[in-house]
Amino acid sequence: MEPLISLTDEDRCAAALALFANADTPLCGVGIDLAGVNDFKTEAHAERFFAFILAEHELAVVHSHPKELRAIIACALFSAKEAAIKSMAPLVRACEQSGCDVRLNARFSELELQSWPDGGVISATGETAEHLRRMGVRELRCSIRLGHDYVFSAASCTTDNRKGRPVL
Amino acid sequence: MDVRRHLIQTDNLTAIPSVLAMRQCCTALYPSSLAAGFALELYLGSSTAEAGAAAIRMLLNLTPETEVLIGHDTRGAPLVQLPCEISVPPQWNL
Repeated sequence: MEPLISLTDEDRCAAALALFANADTPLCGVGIDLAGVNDFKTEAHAERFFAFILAEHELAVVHSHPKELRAIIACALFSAKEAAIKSMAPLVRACEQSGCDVRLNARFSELELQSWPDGGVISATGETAEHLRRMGVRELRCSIRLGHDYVFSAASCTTDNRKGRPVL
Repeated sequence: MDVRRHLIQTDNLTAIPSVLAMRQCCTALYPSSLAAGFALELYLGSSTAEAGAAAIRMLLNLTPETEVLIGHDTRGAPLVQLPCEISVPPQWNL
């Protein structure tokens, strides 16, 4: 029996998650992420950086909050997407091992968190949506917990494509 | 090994969500209908590899001598290599 494992580190702090998925369930990957809020207090380039990592409606969420809260919100959204991308790693590896020409090329701005602040479904748009469809990703979900200086996110990836064959 | 285990709730780490909060975060995502069980640990260490390996040993009931290799896949994501087949540790009564 092989556990699903995810690791994350930030400032020499590491968290590890190990999980045994039930047989015959669609759960194929898990991901966790710790992110430091200070990394998002990038005054000079904040807007360009936020536009790179956030979807349009997420940018609107960030801007609807007072300036002092924007870094932690952006950090949380980024962390959730990081966790979601990690959760797809086993599926990506299965695709690679099956020899198919499907690779994960997820753009952060094309992954969208559908509810804030606790998490929920992460949907994909644009080319990222097509990559995920071809890999057979059924659903990405995330859950978020905020700290003053750090944010923790966990994510799950479900699939109908356990053998990693491309979905054409 | 130069790795100290810290529960997040300790006073010097209140800036980080507590381990309890992290586990609740996971419970919401990995219900019993999907997973036989999960475990989550947090370590402070001198390196990610050391802290990650220590956390994995703790999670999977492996002895300190058991080699756990933390590498990276082609996308830079952490990749864990375990030396043997693992069964669900008995303390994972979730």
